[in-house]
Amino acid sequence: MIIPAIFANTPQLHADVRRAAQPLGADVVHINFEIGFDVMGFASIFFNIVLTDEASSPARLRFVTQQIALTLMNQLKTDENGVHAYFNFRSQSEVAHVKDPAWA
Amino acid sequence: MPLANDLLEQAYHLARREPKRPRQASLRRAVSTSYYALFHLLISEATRNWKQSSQRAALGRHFKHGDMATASDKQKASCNRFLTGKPRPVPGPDADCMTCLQSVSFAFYQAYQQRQTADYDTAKQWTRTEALAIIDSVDAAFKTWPQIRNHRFAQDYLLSLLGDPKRKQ
Repeated sequence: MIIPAIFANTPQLHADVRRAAQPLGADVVHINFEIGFDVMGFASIFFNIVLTDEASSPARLRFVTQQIALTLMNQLKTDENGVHAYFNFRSQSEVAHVKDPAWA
Repeated sequence: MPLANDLLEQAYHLARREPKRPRQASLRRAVSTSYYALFHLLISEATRNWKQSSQRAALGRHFKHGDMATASDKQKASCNRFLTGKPRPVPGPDADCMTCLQSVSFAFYQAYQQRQTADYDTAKQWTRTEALAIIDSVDAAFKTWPQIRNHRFAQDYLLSLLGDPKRKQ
């Protein structure tokens, strides 16, 4: 099994994600991620992204999520690094209510 | 595409039910249904090219989920290379099409993965925002597709959804 180089240095990956998230602005509360394999067996990075309640509103959700996904994929060069990127978004209120460690 | 459109509408309906405490079953079915909406949209668009309209449904049965996801993944990467490569593409119909195709193919492969999780991973808790974000990306693909459906890049993508002929031998 081939592990992409981007996964070999997890602290570096965390730093890269933090840097990639900087231009995303105030809509993003925080970003967690897990690495693993997707249903097709490809090395993947699964982002759990907490948005402000305002950014999660129906009027803004589509625009905000598309911008975030594109920014992270472009900044981290996921395609060039041979990894698939997947995105899940929750609002700040939902995270407070559900209390899931993967989102804390 | 009445089936595909109805499925998308149903996905939103399920995701918006139970305004205060959405049931996991509703959110899971919403995510799964949005995937099937895009699945059927793309198959109906591909089979439109078949002259004998009475045979289109049968032809549609030849499309496989995994092959479509693989093709979508390749299409997304190809769009990304086209749009971000040096030199940058000249603005025009080809660049516009690739931007739209990136949105469609990205929505498909994301929805494919999410549908698997929604249908089979009972440990995962879904929230309404998670479900709506996925459905919104599918809805964006639905709105984008009519702009590019006749462009050769879009038609090449539809053909690729049948899978790699070399792998099938």
